[in-house]
Amino acid sequence: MISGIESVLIADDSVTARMIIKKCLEIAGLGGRRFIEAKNGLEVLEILQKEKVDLIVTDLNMPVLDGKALLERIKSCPDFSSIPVIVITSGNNPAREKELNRLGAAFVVNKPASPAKVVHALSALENLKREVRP
Amino acid sequence: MREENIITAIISAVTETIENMAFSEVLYVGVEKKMPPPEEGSLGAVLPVFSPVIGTLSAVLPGGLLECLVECIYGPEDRQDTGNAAADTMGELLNTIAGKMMSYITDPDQEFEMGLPVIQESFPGEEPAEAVAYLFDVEGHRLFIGFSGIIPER
Repeated sequence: MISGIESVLIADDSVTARMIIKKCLEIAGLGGRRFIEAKNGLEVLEILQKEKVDLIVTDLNMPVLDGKALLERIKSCPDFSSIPVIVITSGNNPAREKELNRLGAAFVVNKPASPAKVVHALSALENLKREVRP
Repeated sequence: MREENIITAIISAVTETIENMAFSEVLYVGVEKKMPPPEEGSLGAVLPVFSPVIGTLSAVLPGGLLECLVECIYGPEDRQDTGNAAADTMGELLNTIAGKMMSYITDPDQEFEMGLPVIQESFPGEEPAEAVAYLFDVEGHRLFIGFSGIIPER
């Protein structure tokens, strides 16, 4: 499974969704990692200033700062732009997925999240890392 | 876009969401002209959709069904950590249903916009009362999903 991930930041305004995502990540091979939770994009940016994060898993539809705006902020900041971001959304279609990939999302997962979908996303992330590495 | 598209999208969205989130079987029962008055212990939620459909999606779940769904999703251990699991699950359920519904009724190259779910213990406003209600049976419990709004032609 994916290497080099010690801490994962999960952003969703629903505690139920965060719990489901965390369980899926644990089943998908990230058990024992440090999980940090945020309720919106602004909280994510505040946590990033203080904590080292290796992977961000974010919802799209959130109050205060939504997932799309968060992705734009992360990818435009040199300090954070290398952190892979997986977007989890209830409303995905090809147009939205294309736009999110253009903004820098490593992978887009349809809600409700399942271990199988998360395994697929993490595998894609690992392949992406291999392609970047010579 | 026709009303039939909305009905098909709602049925698919509700069925997939509840089966995948809570591993519970869902049966579509039929259409009611109005959302029902909430029963004792029921919880409701509304969520606005802005584009390409303009309207409100609403849901009413009886307390027994909500208990059943929360138990399925959280399990007995994790539930102890969450003070407001029922309301949160209700919001997440409607949010997921709305997102799926919108993705089914939009073209592959079309973006869509929706708001955030708001939990309600009753429905004093006019909008949900004017909604067409779609009735589902979830493990013997009645689930109502309502939609009111403008369906644009395309």
